[in-house]
Amino acid sequence: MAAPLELVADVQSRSPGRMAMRRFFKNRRAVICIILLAVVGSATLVVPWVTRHDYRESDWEYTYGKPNGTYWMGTDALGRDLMVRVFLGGRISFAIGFLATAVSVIIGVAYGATSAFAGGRIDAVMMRFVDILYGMPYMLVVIIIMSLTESKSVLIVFLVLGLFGWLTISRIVRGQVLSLREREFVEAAKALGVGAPAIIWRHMIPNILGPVIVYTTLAIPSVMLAESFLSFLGLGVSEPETSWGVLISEGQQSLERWWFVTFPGAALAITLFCLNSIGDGLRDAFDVQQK
Amino acid sequence: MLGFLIRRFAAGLATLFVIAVLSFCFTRLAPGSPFSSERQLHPEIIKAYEEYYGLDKPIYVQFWRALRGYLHLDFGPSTMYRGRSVNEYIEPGFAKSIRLGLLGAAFAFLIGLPLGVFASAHQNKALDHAAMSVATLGICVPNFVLGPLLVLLFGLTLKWLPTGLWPEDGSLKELSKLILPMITLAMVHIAYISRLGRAGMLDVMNKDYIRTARAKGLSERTVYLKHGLKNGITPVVSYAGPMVALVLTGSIVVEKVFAIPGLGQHFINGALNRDANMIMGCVLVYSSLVIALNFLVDVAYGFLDPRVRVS
Amino acid sequence: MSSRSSLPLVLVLAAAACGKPASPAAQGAPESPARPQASAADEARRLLAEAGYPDGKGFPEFEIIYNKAEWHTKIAAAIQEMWRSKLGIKVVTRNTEWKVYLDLVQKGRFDIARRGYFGEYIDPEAFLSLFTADSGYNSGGWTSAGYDRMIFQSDRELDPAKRYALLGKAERLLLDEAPLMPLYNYIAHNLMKPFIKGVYHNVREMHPLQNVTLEGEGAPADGTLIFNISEEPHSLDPALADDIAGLKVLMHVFEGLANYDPRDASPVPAAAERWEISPDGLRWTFHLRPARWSNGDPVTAEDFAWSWRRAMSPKMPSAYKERMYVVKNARAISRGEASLDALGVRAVDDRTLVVDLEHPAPYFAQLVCLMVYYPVHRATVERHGDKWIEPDRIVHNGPYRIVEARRGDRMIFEANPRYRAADALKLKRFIFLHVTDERTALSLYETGQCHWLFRIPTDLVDQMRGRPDYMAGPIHGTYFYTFNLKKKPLDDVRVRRALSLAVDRETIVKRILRGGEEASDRLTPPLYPGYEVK
Repeated sequence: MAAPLELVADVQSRSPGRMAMRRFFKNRRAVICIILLAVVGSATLVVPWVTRHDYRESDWEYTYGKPNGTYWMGTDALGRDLMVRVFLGGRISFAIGFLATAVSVIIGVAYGATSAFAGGRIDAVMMRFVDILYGMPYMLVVIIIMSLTESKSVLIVFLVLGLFGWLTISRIVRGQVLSLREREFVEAAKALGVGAPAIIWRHMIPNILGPVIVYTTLAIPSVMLAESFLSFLGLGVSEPETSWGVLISEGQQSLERWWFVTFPGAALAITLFCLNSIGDGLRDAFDVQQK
Repeated sequence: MLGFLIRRFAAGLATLFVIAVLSFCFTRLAPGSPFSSERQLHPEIIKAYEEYYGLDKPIYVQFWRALRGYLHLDFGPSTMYRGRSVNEYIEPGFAKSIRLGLLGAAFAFLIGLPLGVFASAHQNKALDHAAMSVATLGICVPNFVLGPLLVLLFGLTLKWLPTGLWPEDGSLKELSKLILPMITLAMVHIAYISRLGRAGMLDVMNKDYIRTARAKGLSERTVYLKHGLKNGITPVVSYAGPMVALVLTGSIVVEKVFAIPGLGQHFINGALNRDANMIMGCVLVYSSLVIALNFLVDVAYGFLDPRVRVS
Repeated sequence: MSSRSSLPLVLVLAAAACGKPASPAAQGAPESPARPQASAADEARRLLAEAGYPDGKGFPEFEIIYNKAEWHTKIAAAIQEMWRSKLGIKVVTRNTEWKVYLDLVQKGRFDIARRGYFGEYIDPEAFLSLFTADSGYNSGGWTSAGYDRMIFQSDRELDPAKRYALLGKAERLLLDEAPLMPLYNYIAHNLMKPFIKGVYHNVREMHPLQNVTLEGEGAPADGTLIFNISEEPHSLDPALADDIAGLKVLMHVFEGLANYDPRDASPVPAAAERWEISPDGLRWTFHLRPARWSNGDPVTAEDFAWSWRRAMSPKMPSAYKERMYVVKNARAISRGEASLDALGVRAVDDRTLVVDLEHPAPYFAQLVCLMVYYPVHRATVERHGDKWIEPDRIVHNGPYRIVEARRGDRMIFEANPRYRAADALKLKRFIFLHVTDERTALSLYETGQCHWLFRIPTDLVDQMRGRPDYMAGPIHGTYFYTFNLKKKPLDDVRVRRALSLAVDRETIVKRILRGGEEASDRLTPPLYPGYEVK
């Protein structure tokens, strides 16, 4: 029994992945973006660690300071070094982006797969619920929840963003599972008497992985953007902690001081650009159908 | 077919009802009262407020009253603007928002679609990467930064365009007030549309019938524009429904930056001032629109693909 | 005082407003901002150690709450950093929406809260009454029977000098107990196109536009002044209006007994040509000028009396009712404990209005400038109910009528030909915009779509200060923090004083705000000649 199954799994799960990766690495834009993203990412880890400035410490003699030899990216309204704040803010933005997406991917995959496997009435009810949430202006809910919560810790921000970001992925996963269920190799496995868990593990997951990875890479930047929107509304991370969203919405208030918005803005833009390009590259490589 | 339509329509109404219930609960749960001010008001004044707005009644009575109002498209009195109804704000606000939204959506299509098609014609060449990079930039700059930047550049520095407010009349000078908000609103969708367009075209151009067309000796241009385009842009067209809704909600920021008294402004002001009726009114208008658009998309698919009707 | 030299305009305006060079700091206050900061910080550390928290060890982690606004965030972050670096105390800051913030503050659900107050009448009592035990503002749990008694006595004191002395003593007690931590006095920042003539800075920021003219380069051809009042008034019904935007609109549409002098915002006769005060200070007699409503009916004393009773009726939902509680029986009526007829106002004849007060209030003439005291046209109100204020129905007695009110956008005003002094109106037409975003408003101003702003993004104030179209001056408001005494160890006066001493106000004012604000160590603004805190 085991041999043919191995064969099926081998053909169906591993080689498409490998081929996709080969296609992906041929895409020069995506590869450059991976390198760029790695540079920005490691800077957020390294820079605050090596710098002489504390992110909370104010230089009252140099508030609103232009970039100079001491402060390479200038200082903010409180005379705090912007460079360390930009990179520390980056850590938080990355954390929110990745963790919130992880939350929504986990919920979305579980929900979508459950719905598809349950089928029938349960499926209909579960998907109707997703439709309802879709019809709800999601920012309203986020705004209300953000103002309901007693504290504005980073944890809350990514939980809230994550809890409302799973709708699309659940639909994708459900669609994938439904179509896979009908496909020949699954039928074949079933005919061979393979149990449901094994089918899920060996066939469903590898085939769903592509779309999920693509979706995840594209979801991270949109979560990061949502975080900046929340900050713009004053519902983001609170002082003295900061994030790119907070820094940008502060900088946007004084565009005349170009360094306020330029550095965090550039960092965010580069990151979002890279993540989107990588996502596009992955989509091309995995040949994921457009919604 | 009729059965399908009725089922879909009923589902839409049910969705709307659930949204109404949920939003109603949210507005009642939110901390802060619409009547709180710097000083704690004397209890007799708070009582007067609550009686005036019927907030002294049990919650289900309040909900029932509100629901009856919604059936007549009456969203009740505003607690923020005393003596005014929410409709007085939502109606003109919605008229402005939807016009701005449609303008933004049209602009996004006008720029995004050619960009995507153009990129697909040069797949994986420098021009493709350049076009796609430009398009992706739209997703990378938050619109609350893009808007002020455009104002700074075209309004304050170059003095080419006005920087805000709604046009007074139909003259060209007044209408030019809409250019910057339109661009700000459209930017992110230009990015999405061009990407969808590119992917759709690439998908189609690998199909058999295109090969056949080529084999018949038709010119590459004819194949591309006549056979490819027609089918290649389907994903873009199906994006149109949700996009109009997205453009509308996206206008919250744009309306603030450009001082446009649209629905988004009223929604945010309502939320900040705990004006429950204003919030409910805006949410229901937004949601109805989203649901209506989804319904239209469903209907369109229903006509195109008979299998959908059965499922 | 050294900062004054850089700010001649502010100095001149302040002097004009007060009648003497403004003196910011209360003499002899222990935490005078002039004191070198190092020693203040030492003193703060000493007090904190004495209270049992040397170097901040064991001090609980408190939270500063403030409502969302750029400068609140900066000030809170600065204070957070000053306490961290000088006292070794860690606090967190929490940014909430306005309504949430109000809710938390009013219910006493805070540790340390940012507050601010604008007095509606130019008198120390406007601020000091905030901290009596029964005040709706005082939610931090601080009470003092001695303080309340002094405020109560000052209300009954007819000699102005003795009254000020009592209030000054009360404020000394308040500041020594330190339930609050004053930071600075507000400054009004205006940008105004140079062609606008006849507008003067005043401490109430009230600018009746009747005598404003537009002349000189760039003046609009249609003679329409465009002013951004930043928000849409909550209501146009004088009895319901409860915000500054409402006052700004309604003082042009209606005419109360008195109105603000454009130069110094002192109350000057308006609908009343003069008034007398009885020797016991309790009875005010107003003599009305002949005037007509916009529909031609004469304006009578009974119109005022009826409008006041209407405003006080228990069913009327308005936060501004409290502004009339000084009138005899007003509060009892509002509570439904007395009939409307019991209100201390009556029309002796068509042109004479007699008002009885609960206690002497030398500032009553300033109160009658507020919209809750404006007359409304009885027949119109009774016919149209809530909707009587719509432009096509409204009947009013003020200099201007609202031609159009576009929701969330603007109001357009034109001269009222039936106004009693219609011929003397210099400005015939103006527009109030409701643009909330300060950045957006500034862009509109810079591109000429708006002629006058009274708010500027705080970040940009220092860049605006040198400009010829910038107008600024002190206003009747103070920015401060309050402590919640129910949270240990904030109940210890040494802790509160230590926290207050560790905040370097000069740094906040000079390095962060940079708009010419005056650091302050007292609650009341330094705007009352003859008033001293001692």
